[in-house]
Amino acid sequence: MSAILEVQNFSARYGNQKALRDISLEVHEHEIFGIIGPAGSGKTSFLRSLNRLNELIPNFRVDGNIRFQGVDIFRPDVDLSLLRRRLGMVFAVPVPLPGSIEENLLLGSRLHGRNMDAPALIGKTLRAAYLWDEVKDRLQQSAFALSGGQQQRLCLARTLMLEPDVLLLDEPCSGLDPISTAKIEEALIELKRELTIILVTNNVMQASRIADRTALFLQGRLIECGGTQQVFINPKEKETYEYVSGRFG
Amino acid sequence: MDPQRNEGLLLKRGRRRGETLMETVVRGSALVVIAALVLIFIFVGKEALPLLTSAEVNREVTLETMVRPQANGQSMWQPVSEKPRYSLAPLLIGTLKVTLVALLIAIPLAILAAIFASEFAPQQLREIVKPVLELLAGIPSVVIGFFALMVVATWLQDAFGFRFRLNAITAGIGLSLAVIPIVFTVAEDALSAVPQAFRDGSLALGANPWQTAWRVVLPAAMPGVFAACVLGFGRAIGETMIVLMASGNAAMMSFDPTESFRSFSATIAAELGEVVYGSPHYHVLFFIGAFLFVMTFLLNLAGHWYVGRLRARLGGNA
Amino acid sequence: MKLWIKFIGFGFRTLTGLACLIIVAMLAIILGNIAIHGGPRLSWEFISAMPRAGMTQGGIFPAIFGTAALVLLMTVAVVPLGVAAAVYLHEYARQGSQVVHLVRLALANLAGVPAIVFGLFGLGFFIKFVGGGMDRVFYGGTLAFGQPCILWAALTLTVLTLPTVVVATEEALRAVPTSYREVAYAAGATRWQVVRHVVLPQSVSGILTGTILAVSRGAGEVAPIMFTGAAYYLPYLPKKLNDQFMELGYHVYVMTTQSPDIEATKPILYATVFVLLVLTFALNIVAVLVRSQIRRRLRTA
Repeated sequence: MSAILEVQNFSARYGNQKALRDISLEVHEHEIFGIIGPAGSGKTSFLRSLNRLNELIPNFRVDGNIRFQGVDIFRPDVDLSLLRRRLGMVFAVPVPLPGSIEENLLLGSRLHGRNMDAPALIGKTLRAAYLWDEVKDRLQQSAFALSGGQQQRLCLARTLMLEPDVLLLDEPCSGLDPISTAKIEEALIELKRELTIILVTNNVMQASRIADRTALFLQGRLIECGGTQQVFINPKEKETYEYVSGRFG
Repeated sequence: MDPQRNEGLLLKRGRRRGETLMETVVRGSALVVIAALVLIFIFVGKEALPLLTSAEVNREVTLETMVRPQANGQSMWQPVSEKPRYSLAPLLIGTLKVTLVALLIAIPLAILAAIFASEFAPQQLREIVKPVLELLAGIPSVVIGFFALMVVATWLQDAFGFRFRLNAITAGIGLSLAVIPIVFTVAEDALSAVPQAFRDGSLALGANPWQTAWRVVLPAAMPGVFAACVLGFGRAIGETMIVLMASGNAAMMSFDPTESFRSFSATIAAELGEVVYGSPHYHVLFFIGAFLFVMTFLLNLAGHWYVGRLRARLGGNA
Repeated sequence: MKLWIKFIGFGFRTLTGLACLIIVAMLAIILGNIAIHGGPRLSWEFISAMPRAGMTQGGIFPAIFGTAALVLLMTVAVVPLGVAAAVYLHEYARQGSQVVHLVRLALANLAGVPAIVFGLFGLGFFIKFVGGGMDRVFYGGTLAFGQPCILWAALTLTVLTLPTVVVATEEALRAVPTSYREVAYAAGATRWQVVRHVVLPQSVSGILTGTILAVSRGAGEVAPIMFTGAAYYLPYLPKKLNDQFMELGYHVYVMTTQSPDIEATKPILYATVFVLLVLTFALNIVAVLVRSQIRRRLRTA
């Protein structure tokens, strides 16, 4: 499988505070790439650098290289709006926008004008997010009426409506009950047939469950990166062993 | 993966232009705000300048003659007469007279009410008092002036029998109604901004609520309360309609609050309609306006500086 | 000793409560007095007819029309301008930049400028400079816009009420959660798209509050329009932008201070004041209600 994302010697800082140091890795197409590590290790900063969302923060500075499908994403002539559609993001806390379920899903078409086959796409994305059966009769209802787990699946479907190539998920199941978590994990496993998934998770077990390859971040540095089996059962680095076995969290 | 999709990542010209347009529009609007203030300064100043620079105007009046007390001890403001007199003294005294009366009424009332609203009142009462004060602030000053002239003057006349029906006390009462809302609002904001921890600490040491309010909260909020007074003062000297209607509009040189008077702003309002464009009188009126503008500008700066001091002081003590 | 402290405490608290009561009473007295004297004179004829017999009979329709037209023009100018400025301050500008600091300073000071100075500004800038310039350039020197008229009065009021709209809009923008904006950006929205599709729709009630407050203020201020377009008696209604107009507040002022027979005009005078008061009050109450509803909704969200 070819590499859809290539990161070379990537560093980032907020003002004077270093967030990421010299990260180099590759993400392959159609895989679930898990990123694990304790809080503050730079996982979220890394994820948000991939779709350049970090640029909303005033003092954010980067160094190094990130190539998406061979194109350097930091080129000044890159269409930021397009980049963020191709790498769609789902946040840790579900954020339904005010409006109905349908209106939430149509956010992409409202912004970008593409409306070709909205009802079909709505059905497709809601099924992919394992939410269709639960909301098919109430698409006009307010999105706030849904439970937490349902809202997060709605956010997943909303992102899928953009037809991205890569899904960036930032601890999507934190705060969700085990059933909702299981549904989302099932959805991701199905989705990797069509797109690539990068999953940041605080939950080591989740990575071991569904990630094909896993990377461990610690204090802004990449400690180890490889097949999930290998990282968990036969880690190369001492810190990896200590983290996956729960020595520290 | 479709190799052609690479190119799609790069920028399309058209959309960028729309974005830049909107950014220019909103930035322009923000600059208009600054421009407005600057333009006020320029155009009021422009018509005031001839007082200082034009020889023709200076034949009739100069800054010096306006400020210096006049020879025979009778400083007068009589711009429309055979021998025009332009002493600012009666206007200054008139302005100060009514401002003093208004502040003497407004400041104690507003600050005490602010203390009540922020320290003693139950939540329900607070939700009534604050909107009531906003409604008071919403009464047009021409209505307050009308009320002062028609009703308050009559009451005072019946009660005290002043020589002049319209005087500084009548106008001062009316003016206080316009000053109270702003003093209350700023003071109440300042008192509410004092962290609850201050009060809790004081109460834990055995003080009761009024001691806490008087000895802990009020001193902590003092820069804000002071700012409220400064802003109230600015409001008072700038107010036009109330004074215009309830002052009697006689530019008399007297410290007696029971006599009619003229204030700076009322003078402009009363005389600008009759004045000849470009005459010395015209430029003098603009000069007074420029003076008022500068004064309220400085008072506003001072008021906001004090609020900043308050925030710094409270912000440091979480 | 304890009793003495308790007594002072009671006295102090009562004093502060009394102060509140006095203020509320002042408001009630004014409202009551005007309602009592002005109410009876109110009738459909009063609102819809033209004045007659030297303002002692008839109605004040032209003043109501003039006020409405004036305020409408002002709103058309001040709302887009104020909202755009607030959007810049909150959504576009880099926080802490020099421009933001200057704009906020200008807003605070603009709010404190005396109303009569606005009148001088209207005269010196809009009428003489802009209007005079327009006359020279477009009308070959004849007097068209270089004189008091409803356009300049409305623009003068625009400058006066600008801070109100900007402040209310900013409060509304601030209330929109940052997470909404993030979601929109992550979905590929540009800055303007975020503002247009997510932020502004959520801010409508706050902007409405600011507009209502501005309208109320504009309808009540007299000093800025005294020399920029208001007139006491006009036999016609303002139809063109460079027409003069009658206005409620100005009408009250002139009737109160310059009426030859105050006793005869008293009924109409009180009724006019009542109409003006009811108008500004209704607007204020609506704005206060809308705002407290917004705040209550935010607190429970």
